[in-house]
Amino acid sequence: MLRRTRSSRVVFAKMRSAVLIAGLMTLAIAGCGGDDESPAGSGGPGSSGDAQLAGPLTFTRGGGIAGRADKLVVQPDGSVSLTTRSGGERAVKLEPAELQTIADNADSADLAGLPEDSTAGRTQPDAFGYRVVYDGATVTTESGSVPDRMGPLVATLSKIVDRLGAK
Amino acid sequence: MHFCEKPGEQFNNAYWNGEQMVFGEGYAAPLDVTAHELTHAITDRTADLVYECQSGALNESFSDIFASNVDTDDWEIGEDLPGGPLRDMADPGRFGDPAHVDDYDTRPNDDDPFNDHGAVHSNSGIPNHVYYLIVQNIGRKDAEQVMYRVLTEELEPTSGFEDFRTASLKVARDLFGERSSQYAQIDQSFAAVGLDGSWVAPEVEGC
Repeated sequence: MLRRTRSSRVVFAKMRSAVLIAGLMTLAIAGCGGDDESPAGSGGPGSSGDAQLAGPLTFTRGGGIAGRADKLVVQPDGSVSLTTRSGGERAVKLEPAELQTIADNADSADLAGLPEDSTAGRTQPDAFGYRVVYDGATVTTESGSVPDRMGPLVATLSKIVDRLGAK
Repeated sequence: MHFCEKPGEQFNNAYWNGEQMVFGEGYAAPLDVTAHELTHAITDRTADLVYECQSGALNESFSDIFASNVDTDDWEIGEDLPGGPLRDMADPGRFGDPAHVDDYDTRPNDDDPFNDHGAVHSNSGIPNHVYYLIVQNIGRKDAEQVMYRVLTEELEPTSGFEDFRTASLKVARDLFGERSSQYAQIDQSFAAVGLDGSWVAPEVEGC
């Protein structure tokens, strides 16, 4: 399955050498974490555990090596809808515990206190871009730059998007 | 080397952050995925194609092109990933990507993550399919030599699809001659996706 031709080996060897010579090759393996270094889970410091969503929460995730374009809207009653790049839409109802986790994560994230643009400010090919719109606040961020207190929210919502099977 | 400490939460992605390749669990094993990310590093240090609009689609496409050159028994990208393939250079439409400029994805280049910097992954389907056709027509050995020189010597940060065609023909002329079959076949391969030197890109917000 991974057969290489002689000429491709030559070309690819040149490419690898270029990178090695440039001293660029540092490998990072993220084996866990809903995204980046941020642990997923409910609440976190400051979480009340009984928060409720104040209104609709919209989560957008785009890019990645797959070129995703997913938009998830979570309503306070637990109804969610996912729109994808193809125009497909899925609607489901969350279990109360999962809705509670989202509400707690959103409460802990305190989005209104974060910079609207929380991106790295440099090009990161294939990184995920994220945007959360909730309770009058909008925060845009991306892999490697997700604010610590927003990490659990991004991780929880990403898991829901993955579970609903968006491309 | 960085390992995450909390098992059970999958990071379903691989990316190049300008200094490091970052791989989620299961994403470092497939050779084509690793080559894809490695090529982003090469592009950064050579053509430096701006990661938006047509140049961004070319940036993505070169990563798929060189991925296909080291995983040569199919035209899928990422078929060994936990979730299966992401793209098909032989049939981009299989995953909703355009294979012809008439189907160019006109999502704007803005700060909304949904739009993926002006649909860079989606529109990579067009140059991806060009490369597939070139390999069918002249063989991979000659095709990859052309592409390597195009990326490292000819393209510029804001190059677009027609610039890609012009550069490919220039390299083909330099390597094989203007009357060679390679030159003619490359020209025909671009024409098959609507790139004949006269294509005018649709107006896209932010591009």
